[in-house]
Amino acid sequence: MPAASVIFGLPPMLVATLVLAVTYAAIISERVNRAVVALLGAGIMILCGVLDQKEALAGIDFNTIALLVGMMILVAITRRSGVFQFVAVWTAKLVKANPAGILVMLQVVTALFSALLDNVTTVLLVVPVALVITEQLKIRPWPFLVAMIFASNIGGTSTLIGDPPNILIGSATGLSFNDFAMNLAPVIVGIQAVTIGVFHLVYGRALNASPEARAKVMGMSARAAITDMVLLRQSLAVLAVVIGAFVFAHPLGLEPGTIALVGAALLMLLYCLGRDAESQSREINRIFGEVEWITIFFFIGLFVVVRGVEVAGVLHWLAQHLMAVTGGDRAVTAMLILWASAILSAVVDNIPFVATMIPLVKSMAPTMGGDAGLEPLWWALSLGACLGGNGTLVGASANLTVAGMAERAGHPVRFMPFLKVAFGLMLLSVAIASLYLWLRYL
Amino acid sequence: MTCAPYVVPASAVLRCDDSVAKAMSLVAASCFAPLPVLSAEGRVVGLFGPRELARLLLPTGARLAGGNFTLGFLSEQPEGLRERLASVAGDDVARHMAPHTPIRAETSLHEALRRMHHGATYQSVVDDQGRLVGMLTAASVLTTLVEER
Repeated sequence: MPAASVIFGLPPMLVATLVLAVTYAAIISERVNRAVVALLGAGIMILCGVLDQKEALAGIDFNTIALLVGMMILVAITRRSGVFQFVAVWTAKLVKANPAGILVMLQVVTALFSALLDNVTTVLLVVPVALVITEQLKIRPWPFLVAMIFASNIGGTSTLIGDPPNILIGSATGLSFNDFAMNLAPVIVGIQAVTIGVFHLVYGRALNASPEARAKVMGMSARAAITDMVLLRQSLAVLAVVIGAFVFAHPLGLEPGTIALVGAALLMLLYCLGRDAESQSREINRIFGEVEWITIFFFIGLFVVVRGVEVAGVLHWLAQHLMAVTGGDRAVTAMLILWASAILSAVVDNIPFVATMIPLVKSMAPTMGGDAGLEPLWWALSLGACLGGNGTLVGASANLTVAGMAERAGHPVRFMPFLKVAFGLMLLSVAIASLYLWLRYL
Repeated sequence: MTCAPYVVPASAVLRCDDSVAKAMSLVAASCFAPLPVLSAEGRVVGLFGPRELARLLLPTGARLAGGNFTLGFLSEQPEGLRERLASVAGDDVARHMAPHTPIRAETSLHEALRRMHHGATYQSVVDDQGRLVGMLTAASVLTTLVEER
């Protein structure tokens, strides 16, 4: 129940729903920065008396925040070694600079990076290299850009740390890195393979580059992309330790947030060794500057808003009605969550959506036979929210990031042309996910 | 102490719809000093100079990437650079200029120097109506100071 008296004696459910709706509307409108909107929504939730400060702070999932910040720091340092460019160039040469082969390889590389890194970071790292390669090959980058959008969202679905919805779900439920990998990676491999096949049939097989252009790509030196070999070794070693720790987090009794932050601190230590105090401060300042604080504060505000809605009883009420619609049937509920998440995530930010859905799904536990019975619903939520982001150009942050880069590069990815390709392909991926859920869990 | 006494006339000005090719020749004729770009209404909206030209020599992907992006892997001959420059020669200069906020003639010299310290080594100076008065550069300030002695 709400801890403080609600403003004007209004029903807490009404006030909380209004604050949530206005916050959502403001986030969707994109007229004000989303972090500002979320923090204002959080403040209003407290000022209106739906939550007291203690309750609001308790709503913030610091494990999620730590995981996000830790991974952002790890990437900020690792990228300085040039390893991501190395991999992209190396794979392009691996397929003898064949455009169709490069289209495949860039999707594989993007999906793999995206499984371990944030999607936006992944496309920021890989898209510039893709543009350089396509420019050298004198071919249109559009299919590459769209395919990489898809790969980033698909690959990110496969692990706990690959996409913010998974980080949220993992942190709220205690599902481990291994749980995500074991349950989601198999279907994601299948979906990515099908997507690669579709892109090859529609675009890849028609791509052509002259022998001279291909020779330019073959003349690239992947090794020269590595700018700091020592840093590369340090980064890869720390990343390996961090991933290993994620795998063994459960027996070690560690939360992913702790692992990521300790890993980040360790890599910062290695990066600072041998530098004087002033240089250390300057470098650490730069590294902290690369943390996406907008995302972090967006999460913080959102956690409080969702906590307000939860405490006011809105989500419990919604869960009861959802149960009434599905008759408490797990298969029907999972399919409803999967498809509703996918369609909604294609048009709204999947982070606030998933943040709201988590307590709602949790409150279904008694009907579903306890926490264990909820597991298929979590996978349905993850698959729907992450894959749904591919449906439209505004469906995920990575899509907008690529669109922005493409626009500046003079190769715009527009809403409607993207929609024509993407929505059907997104539905196909969700259909595959449905089949997988049905066969494995329901 | 305003910056007005240290302002020198702009060696040339560019219009938003001037081509990159024209801009390149004017910049070259101005000893590769950045030139102010004026809107149709005559307001300063940007600067275009050697830095922007050098940027156009880069592959598009490298222009978009952050500071940590390296191009050491690229093996390209000078023809490649010339081709790239030729491919944008017909573009409007407004598309490739650096955004720029001019200073007023009555701005204090110290404030102008502070801006220089933070990287604004070429500053366009405008009057009350926003019309271009001239340019303030480290060279114009130092030359005038030395002459004053």
